[in-house]
Parts: sequence; structure tokens; C-alpha cells
Amino acid sequence: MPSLKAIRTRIGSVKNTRKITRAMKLVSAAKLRRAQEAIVAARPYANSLTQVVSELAQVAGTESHPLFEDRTAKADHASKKAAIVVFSADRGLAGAFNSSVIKKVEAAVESELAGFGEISLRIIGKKANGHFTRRNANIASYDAAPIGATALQLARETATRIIDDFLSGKVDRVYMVYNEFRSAISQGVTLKQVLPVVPEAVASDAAAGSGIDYVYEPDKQTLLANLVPLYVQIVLYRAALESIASEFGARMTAMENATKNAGDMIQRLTLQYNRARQASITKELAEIVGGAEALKG
Amino acid sequence: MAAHGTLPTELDVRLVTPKGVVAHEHTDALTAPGELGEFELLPGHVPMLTALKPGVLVIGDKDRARYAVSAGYLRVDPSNAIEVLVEQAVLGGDVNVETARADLKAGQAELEKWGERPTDGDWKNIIHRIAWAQARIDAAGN
Repeated sequence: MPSLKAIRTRIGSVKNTRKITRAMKLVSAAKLRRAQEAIVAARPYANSLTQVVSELAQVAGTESHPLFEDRTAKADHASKKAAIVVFSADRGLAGAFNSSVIKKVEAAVESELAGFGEISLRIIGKKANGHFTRRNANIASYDAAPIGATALQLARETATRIIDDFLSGKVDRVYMVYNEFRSAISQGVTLKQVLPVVPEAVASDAAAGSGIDYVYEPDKQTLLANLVPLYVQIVLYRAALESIASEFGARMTAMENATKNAGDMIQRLTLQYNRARQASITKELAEIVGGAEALKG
Repeated sequence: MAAHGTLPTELDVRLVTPKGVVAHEHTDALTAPGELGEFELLPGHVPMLTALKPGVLVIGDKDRARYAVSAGYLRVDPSNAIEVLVEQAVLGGDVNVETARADLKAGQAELEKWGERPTDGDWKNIIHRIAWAQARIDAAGN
């Protein structure tokens, strides 16, 4: 049985921990809200761009741009190369956020991407970098995890790099693994193909709209060459934003649980403390009574 | 929107970036940095889709608002609404010229360091940073 003083110190330290986890939860909640706003703000841009690229791809044909071309069918088995863009975080304390991304990458390498002779990683976030560096994985680049303000630039530069790799034949297919944001309490890791670009099917009303004769300047091919990279960028940007929002969501949940557990622990320790205190009082009383009895005798 | 048969007299311009809709204005003219060179757009243009490169976008002829914009497109709808969709846009007055100059310098230094090595994605990123810094400086000055 620990001494009264030891229990009291323990209760104090757990209370401090609870203060920290509660503060982290509140901070994550505030940051989550901002991250969600960024996702919403990106929507008009993403929708317009997606529609224009799909329409262009439809009128110009998917063979009109090399980023639409699927080379994996032609290449033989062993020479096929893939790259994965991995979105993780710089910090932990976010539940399974980082480990589930890492697990998904490792699982994908074993199953979905088993047909590729070589797989390189473009890693975002310290956590995944640490993990894969220790295992000597083929890391093509590493960037720190973005915050809302730097996500766009990171998306642009990553897009430029993977597009260049793809066009120069260094990779035949590019995937990304990230935490998809479903809600504040639910995130799920997904593997998505980034390159070659699969143009989204144009909605029927948009297809009717594409009947208009636009004047294309320069020609459709040059336009596609300008816009498809932007499309790849926005795909990565959205993934980065969802990853950020998921991280805060996961941290919020993790910290809420931690706060609850700390509360439970405090309750248990307080109980133990009171029992120990009562035991010592009972003991003292017994001693006094015992002493008085002895004097009587 | 103009009624059928008459020519519209104003432009309905929406400037859209990944950070949100930056501007939505009714104006009389628009000057944009097209892929093939700068051009001016007036009300009543035929439907058009054109690529933009980093540069200065001027909304309005009399009441001017200058924006630094990076790559994107400009689309004139059949309804004569104009959508300018660019990856980055900042109002000329909001440009931090010192940061832009520093970015330009850093980019040029990196480019020099690159030397004769074959150009790849990282090289293109440097080029983009230089172009975007230049666009911001141009938009800040009148």
C-alpha cells in the first residue's frame, strides 16, 4: 500500500496531465474548425477546374495529353514503377492517425501494388519519414507536414515533381495515401490513384453545356497541358487539407479519451487515498483505545 | 445578365482560387495575362476558354483593381459571366514587396546554383517561384 503522501502526489500529477489533455483537445477543436473551413473554401475552385478539365478531355480526347496515358498495360511486369505520396503528420498524440497511414502504405505495397517492380515514396510528415527511413525504404523526397497556409505550395511543388517523374518515365503510376476526412470523429485511410489522371465523367447537364462553341486559346491540347497540372495540384491540395483536418479530428478524439481516463484515474486514486486515510485513523484510534485499556489494568 | 438581342454593357467577373472566391465584381473591362500575351476583355465577348500565365490581372478600366495572379484559366460563359480561375491571387495593395523581392532573389540564386544539371520537377518549382515573385512585384507597382 503506497503512503498517503505518495498517493497525494500521484493525484496531483494526474490532474496536471488532465489539464494538458483538455487544453490540447480544445486547441484541436479550434484548429479543426479552421481546417474544415479551408476544405469548404477550396470547393468552388476544385469543382470549376474539374468540370473544365473533364469537358476539355471530352472534346479533345483522352489521348490528347500524356498525363492521361496509362502505360502500365504496355510495360512488362518487373519494369513497372510506382510512386506513393504519403500524407502523415509531424506530431503524434493523435490516436491511430499516423500508424494507420503507415500500415496502409505497407499493406498496399504487399497487395494492390504488388505488380510493380519498384515503388518509391514521396513522404509528407515527420512520423512516416521516421518510420520508413529506419526501414531503408526507397524515399524520393521528404517534406514537413503542411499547415493550412503552406498546404497549397506543398501541393504545387509535389504535383510538379510527380508530373515530371511521370512524363520523363521515372514512374508509371502515382498513388497517394491519406486520411480521408469524413467527420470530426471518423477518418479513414484511403489509397487513390493520382497519375495517370482519370478524368471524371462529365455530368449530363454539363455535357449539354459543352455543346457551346468555345473559342479555345491557345488550342485544346495546350490548354490541357496548362490545366491538367493544376488539376493534379488541387487533388493533392484537397488530400493535404483532409489530412490536416483528420489529424485534428483524431487528436481531438484521442485527447478527449485521455481526459476521460485521467478523470477515472483521479477518482480511483481519491478512493484509495480516502481508504488509506481512514485506515490510518482507525489504526490510531485502536492504538489510543489499546493504550487506555492498558492504563486501566 | 443582358436581355436577349442587346449587348451586355458590363462584365460579371468572379476571381476564384483554392483559398476561396477572392473577388466578385461587376465591371466594364478586364486585362489579363494570357498564355499568348496580355489581352483586354470587354462586355459582349464570345464564349472563350483561355490559359493564363503568372502576371497582373486588372479588373476594371476606370476603377482599377490590380491582382497578382499565377497560372490558371479565364472562361467567358455563354451568359457572359467571366470566371477567372487561378491557383494564387493577391491584391496589388496587399503585396508585401519586400518578401516578394527576397523570394525573387532567393529563386534566382537557386537557379544559378542549378547550373547545367538536367532540369526536373524541382527546377520547374524554382521557375514558378520566380515568376510568382515577379508577378507580385509587378502588381504592387502601378
